[in-house]
Amino acid sequence: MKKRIYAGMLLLAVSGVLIASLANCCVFYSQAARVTRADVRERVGVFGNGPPDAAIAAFPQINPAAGDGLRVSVIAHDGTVTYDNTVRAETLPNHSDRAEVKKALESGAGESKRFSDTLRDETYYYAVKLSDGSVLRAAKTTGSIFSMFAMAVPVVFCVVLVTVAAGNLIAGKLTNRVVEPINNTQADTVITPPYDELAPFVRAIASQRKRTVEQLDDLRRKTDTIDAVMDNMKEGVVIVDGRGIIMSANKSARGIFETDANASMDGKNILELLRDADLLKNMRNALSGQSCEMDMERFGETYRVYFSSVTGIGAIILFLNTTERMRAEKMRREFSANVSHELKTPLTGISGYAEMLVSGMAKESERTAFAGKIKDEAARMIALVDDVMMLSEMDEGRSPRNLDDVDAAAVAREAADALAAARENDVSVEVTGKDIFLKANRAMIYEMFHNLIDNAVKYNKPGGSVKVSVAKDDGRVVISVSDTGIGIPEEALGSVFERFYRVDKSRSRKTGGTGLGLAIVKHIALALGAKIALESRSGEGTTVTVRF
Amino acid sequence: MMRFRYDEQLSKLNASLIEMGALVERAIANAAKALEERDVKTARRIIAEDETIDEQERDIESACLKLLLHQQPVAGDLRQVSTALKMITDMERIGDHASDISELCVYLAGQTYIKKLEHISSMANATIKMVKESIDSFVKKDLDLAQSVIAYDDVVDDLYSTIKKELIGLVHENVDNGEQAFDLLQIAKYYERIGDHAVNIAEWVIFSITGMHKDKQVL
Repeated sequence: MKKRIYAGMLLLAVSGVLIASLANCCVFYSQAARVTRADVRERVGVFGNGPPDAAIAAFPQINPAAGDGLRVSVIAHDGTVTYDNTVRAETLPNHSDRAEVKKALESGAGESKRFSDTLRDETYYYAVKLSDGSVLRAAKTTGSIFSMFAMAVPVVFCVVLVTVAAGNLIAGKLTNRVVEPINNTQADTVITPPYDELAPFVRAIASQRKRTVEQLDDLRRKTDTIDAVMDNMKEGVVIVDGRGIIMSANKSARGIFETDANASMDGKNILELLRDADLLKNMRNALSGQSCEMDMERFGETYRVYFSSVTGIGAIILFLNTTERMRAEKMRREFSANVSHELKTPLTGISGYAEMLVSGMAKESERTAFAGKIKDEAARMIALVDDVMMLSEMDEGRSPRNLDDVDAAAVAREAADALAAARENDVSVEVTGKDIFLKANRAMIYEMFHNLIDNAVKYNKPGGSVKVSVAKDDGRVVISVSDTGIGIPEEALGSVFERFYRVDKSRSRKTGGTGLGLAIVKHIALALGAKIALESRSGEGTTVTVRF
Repeated sequence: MMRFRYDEQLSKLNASLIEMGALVERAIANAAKALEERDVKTARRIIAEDETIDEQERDIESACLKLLLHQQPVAGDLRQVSTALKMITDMERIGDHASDISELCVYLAGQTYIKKLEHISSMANATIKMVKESIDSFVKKDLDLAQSVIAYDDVVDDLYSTIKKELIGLVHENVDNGEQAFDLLQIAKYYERIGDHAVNIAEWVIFSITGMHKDKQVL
């Protein structure tokens, strides 16, 4: 800006100075020319129509080099110069062709102006006719307009120089004075334009700023949303750049990396936080554009880790906690393996006996016994399938239906009576308690008593007893089933509620249990919100207590 | 420009060291697992992967030398580079021992163990912990952690003498146990050496933080 102002000023000043000096020269010159002309006319005009002698006497010989005297000549009618006050007349050529002489001869007076060869000087001529017909001519030489210009040049040059210097200074100051209000204008709030001319700019800036603020807000809202979503995700998400430096990580990821939840992980190399050679390999794959996945263990949890490449940014790493799923999957796998195995055992028996019957290998006397065995094995299978179905139903996690007031004591008696028919080794069952109601599904309570009493009878000594008590303690229904049986060894206590677990495998073949009884009891207790406790001493007996 | 490249090189060196640490950690963890589960396949893989660790050592070594030559680091940076040079030697040795253990694991695969590997397993776990923590202390520049690694070496040494006594007992019982007893003792010795290397790493980490190595001012 300063430069432009300076240049403009300079142009204006210099051209001003030049034009002014030019005009001055012209004015001075015309004034000077007028004075010269008047002077010559006055001094020579008096001799008009006078005798030549008087004129010659008035203009004696002068030395032209000495000064600015008037050069005077007398020219005869034919153009011959008869007198000259500066040089000898004979050396001069004929003057009849000079314009002023011609005019004087014609009209009595004449004038003309001529430049010297160099244009430096200018001579004014004035001629009058004398009484004898000759012409008196005077000439006055002065500097021409051009010489005047030439004289003015150094002065003009000096003035221009001063103008340039002063212009530089003033232009700077001027620029500052113009720019200062603009600089001082605060751009943060409402802008008031320092000059009216800037109003359109200010308007444009204001509207642009409004747009920027809106866009920023929009962007912030979006980022906040993304952050909120990311931080509330159960899955860990980490975004890394091409070198493996973390660009962003959510809260869950911070948990996996065991970093202080508030500490930022951004800008750190992922290796610093999770030193795992396999992870690094997979991340490199993802960074080279190949998505992949792996399993990883950390702090006892299992994670499925997905690596996806993001063109232009790096890679996204997603950590999915699969601990629960893996555990459930493992349990399901084991369960189905166990079920298959348990189903296969009776089937093998059935198939074997059936084969003997078909092939006629069985004697007539054995046939009934074989058919009875087939029936028993089939019954075992049905019991097993029933148990498995019940467990699966409860595994679905549906809340128990058909809740009504159930007389637990009555149900206990019912179950004991039902089992009395199948009672083998002379075990007595005694049920105490009366009119104890609780809110539950009747079938479930029955199943629970059935399983508990069945176990108590089966794993009892010959002549032993089973005590079933249904009572109310502190407003809660407490069921306890205790026997005088073989008990459970201490090391097996932790496992008896597991599916298909058997303390003594050889014995259970004989007694024909499914290995699912206590698992079902546990599930029922869980579904009804009851707590189950088991006390046992090997060889002395077992007590199972269920507290609702 | 020059400085920017320098910083970049230093952080790259740091990342490569951690990466090598990760490789070494994986090697010894897998070796312990292979030994316990008698997994010959894993053992062979560890032996094959030792080459990667060696390669990493050479890469880091040349990166360090280049840094020393071109950038002439001073003070903390010099300590970092020299620590890296020393650490990779120890880490490479740990990798070698993991590979040695795996070789013995392959050799022992056909035999029934003359005893339960309980003490060797706890020795393995102790050294895995030491190596992990020594590298952790490097990553986090954690002086206390490095010192605790050094102190923990006593646990490993005690376990070694326990195993030695046990094996001698077994040889006394039956001379036929002698051959396997030697192999098992060798495995224990490798673990004991791994512990020593972890201590070395921890000492160099302390040096890189304080400039003191084994309580002596070095730099």
